[in-house]
Amino acid sequence: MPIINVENLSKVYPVAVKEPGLQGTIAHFFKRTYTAIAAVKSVSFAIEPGEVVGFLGANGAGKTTTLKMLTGLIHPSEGRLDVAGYNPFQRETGFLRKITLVMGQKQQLIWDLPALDSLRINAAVYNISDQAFRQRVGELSEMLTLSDKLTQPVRKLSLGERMKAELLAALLHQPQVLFLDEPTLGLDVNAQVSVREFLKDYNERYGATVLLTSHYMADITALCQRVLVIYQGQMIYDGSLDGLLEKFSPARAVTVELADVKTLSELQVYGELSEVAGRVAHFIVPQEKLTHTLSRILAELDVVDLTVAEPPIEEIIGQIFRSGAVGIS
Amino acid sequence: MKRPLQNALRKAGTLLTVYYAYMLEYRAELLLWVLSGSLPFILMGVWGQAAQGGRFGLSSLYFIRYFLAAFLARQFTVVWVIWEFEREIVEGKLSFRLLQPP
Repeated sequence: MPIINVENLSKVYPVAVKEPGLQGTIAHFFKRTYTAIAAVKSVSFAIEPGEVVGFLGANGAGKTTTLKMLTGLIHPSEGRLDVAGYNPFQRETGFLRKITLVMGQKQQLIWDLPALDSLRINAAVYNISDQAFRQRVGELSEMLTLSDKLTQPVRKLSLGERMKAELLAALLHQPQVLFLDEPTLGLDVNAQVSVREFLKDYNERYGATVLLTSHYMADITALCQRVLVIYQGQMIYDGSLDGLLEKFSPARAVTVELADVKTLSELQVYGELSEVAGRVAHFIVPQEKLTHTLSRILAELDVVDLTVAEPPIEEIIGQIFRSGAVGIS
Repeated sequence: MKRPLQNALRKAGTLLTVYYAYMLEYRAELLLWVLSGSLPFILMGVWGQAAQGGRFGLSSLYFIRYFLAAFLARQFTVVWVIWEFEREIVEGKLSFRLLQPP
C-alpha cells in the first residue's frame, strides 16, 4: 500500500500584477489585478514505503509547490492527497510526527546558538525523552561525522556542516517520510558526497521513504531508483532512471580527438556540440543519425581517437527542459 | 492529565532557556539595549535637577515618579512579535514551525 498517494493534484496561485511607476503603485494600492498561475497541473503518482524517489524539474516547474502541498504547508486547488494515511493540510499531530521537510535554501536552526540548543527545542516539541535524545543525537551525529561541531554556534559552521546539522534536527523525531528540497544546494563535492551517503544509510537503516528534489544529477543517480519529472507543472515522466534515459534520450555522446584544432563552425555541421576543448570535441548525436554522423566524421576529419558512450544525465535532462516536454507519458 | 502538563512545562522551560541564551549571545548588543532602555533614568536626572533649581509647578519627586512609571511602562509594553512574525514569514522560517506538532 503506497505511503504517498497523489491523484490529480493541482495548484493555482493568484499573483498580483503591478505596473511600474507612481501611477502603477497608486492603482495597485487601490485596486489589485490578479492573474492565475497554474503551478501544478493534475499531477498523480504513488510512492511505496521505503522508496527513494527523485523529483526532477527545471526552476519554476512546480517541484517545491508539490512538496509544500505534500507537507500540508499549502492547500491544493484540486485533487486528492494521502501521506502516511493522513490528509496533509489538516496538519494532524500524528501526521506531523511522521514527516519532515528539509529545504537547502532555508534553515530551522537558530543561527547564533550551537545546534544542540535547537535540537533540545525539537526534543521538547516532539516529546523525546532525555535518554532517547542523547541516543539519537549520538547515533545521527556519528553517521553525519558531526559530533564535535554540535557545541559550536551554527553561524561558525561551514555550509556542509550546517546542512548536516539541519538534517540531524529534521530527523531527530525519526520521521517515516522525508521531503528533501535541494539538500545539497551550494555544497562542495565532498560535502555533497557525505550528505548523499548519509541519506542512503538512513534509508537503509530506518526504511524511511524519501522524496528528493535536486539539481545535482549525482544525487539522483546515487540515491534514486525511480524518478518523477515535472515540466511546467505537468508530470512528464514517472519510472526508472534508466527508462528516463531511454525515453528522452535515444542519443549517444561522441568524443572525437582530432589531429588539429577546428573552429566551432567547422565542427557544428556534424551535430550538436556539447563541449570543445582544444583538439577534443564532444557531440550529442541522435541514435538514428549515429552511423551516418560517424561515417562523415571519419571520412571528412583527421581523427586520432573516437569514443561513443551514453551521454551524461545532466545533458539529457538539460535537453528535455530546453526543448520542452517530449510528450506527456 | 499529568503527562500533557509535564510536556507543556518541559516545552515552555526549554524554549525559555534556549531563547534566553539566544538573547544573551551578543554582550555588546545587550549593553547598547540597556543604555537605550535607561533613557528615562537619564531624563529623570535632568528634570529632577531642573525642578530643584527653577520655578516649576512640579517637584522633583513628581518627576522621579513619572520617569520611573515611564521606564516600567516601556519595559512591559515592548512587543517584538509583529516584527519577528513578519520576518519568519518573509524568510520562510514559519514553514518549519508549522510542520511541528503543537
